[in-house]
Amino acid sequence: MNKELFASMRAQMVPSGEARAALEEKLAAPRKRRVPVARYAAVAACAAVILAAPRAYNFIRDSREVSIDDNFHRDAVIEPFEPHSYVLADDLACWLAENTTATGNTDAGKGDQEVAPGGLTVNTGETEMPGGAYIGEAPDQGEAIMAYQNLMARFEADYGPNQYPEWYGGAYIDEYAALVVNIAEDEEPEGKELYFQIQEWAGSDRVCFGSSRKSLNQLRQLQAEVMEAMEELGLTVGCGINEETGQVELTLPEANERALRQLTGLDPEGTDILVIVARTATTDAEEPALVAPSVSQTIQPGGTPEVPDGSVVDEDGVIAWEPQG
Amino acid sequence: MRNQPQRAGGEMEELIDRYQNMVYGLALARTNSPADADDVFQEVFLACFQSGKVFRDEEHRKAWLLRTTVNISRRVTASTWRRKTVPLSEREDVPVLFRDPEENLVWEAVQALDEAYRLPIYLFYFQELSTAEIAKALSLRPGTVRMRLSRGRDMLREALKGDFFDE
Repeated sequence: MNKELFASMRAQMVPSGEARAALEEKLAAPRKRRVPVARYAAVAACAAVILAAPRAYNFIRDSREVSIDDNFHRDAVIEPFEPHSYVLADDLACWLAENTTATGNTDAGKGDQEVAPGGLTVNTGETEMPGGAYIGEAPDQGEAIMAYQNLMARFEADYGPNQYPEWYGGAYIDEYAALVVNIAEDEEPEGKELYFQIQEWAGSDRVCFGSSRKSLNQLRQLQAEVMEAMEELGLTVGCGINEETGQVELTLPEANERALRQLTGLDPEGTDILVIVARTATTDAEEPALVAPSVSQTIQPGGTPEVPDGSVVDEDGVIAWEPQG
Repeated sequence: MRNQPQRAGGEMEELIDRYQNMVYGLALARTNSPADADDVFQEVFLACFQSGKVFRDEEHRKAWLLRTTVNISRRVTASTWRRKTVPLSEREDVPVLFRDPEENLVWEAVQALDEAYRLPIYLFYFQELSTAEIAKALSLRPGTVRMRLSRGRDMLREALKGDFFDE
């Protein structure tokens, strides 16, 4: 064992006098405590979080509310619109019969009228002539129908099947058996060339002209939107275009508020969609007429939608379609 | 159990007097540079003073000083900043010289050892620490310390051609 050797070496291993003096000087100097920057930063961060938390919460809450509102609008869960006006029909079958004649019955106001929200009126079916029967000679509509067919053939040739020019607002046969062609208000020409052109296409100088707020293309677009909206709501409805009044006519089985709000969105002014709500007039709930008919989008002069069984109320010489039963 | 906080003044000087050779010697064994060992010596006691650490007992204080010395020595010698900014030609290092040639021979042999063997050898033979104390200071298991001591002795026996380091 070389304890003496190691002890001798250990005794020589001492720090230099300068190092010892420097250490003692440092120890004698005022003690500088390290600034715990990290600790202060952590405390500051916690304080900032605590102070910001309420504001962040409010901000997130407000954002969520806005988002929820947006979602509601988008999904139409809650409509921002007032319900659309509608008219009540005591007996839907009767109403359809009285208002879908090829002559474009404009005498609905003569009968009993129901005033529904929005001030619109509808013939309830009880006309001055019981059963809606027509007494007197009927004008011959043959020429008007031929003129209409000629016009449609021209449109089909120029624009394709079921395609119409933008100025065309629909057509109907009036009570004098004259074909009336509506011109969309925004597309009315300044000169008379278009009117002569239409008479030429129709092959009749008895063609008359009227005006409509919307073109038939616009009405068809609106009709498609209405049908889509109602389908999204799961409602079975009837929907057609009345070219005489220039309106989309929608028949609802009941006054569904969500549907009415949707319709207000599609027709803010309440002028382009006529909503008809079928009101049960009999105690027989199984009455077929009370079930909303599925009306196709086939357009007939005078706004005659297809009846539920698929036949078209467009019989030659028929002035008024008498309701059954 | 008695708490022993550090205080500036006479108590600290007494502490330095008691442990300065141990700290400096370990730093010198670790760095093989008197200048670096001086730096480590100062830093260790400054850290001891500034930390305000409270020791359970003297053994705890001794172990803390050893452990701190090893850590600071490692930091000093591994300092990238130091290696890059101080050219070797400008270092004021002077070789470690003992009075007796035999002592210098032994020191050179110890310094030739890998650090893993050098520190246990130094602490065991020069500071006369137990394997348990060495294990605590170097964060090793006692068995590992014993194994390194054994291998270190073999290497020194081979290098020195003599039994300077017996068991």
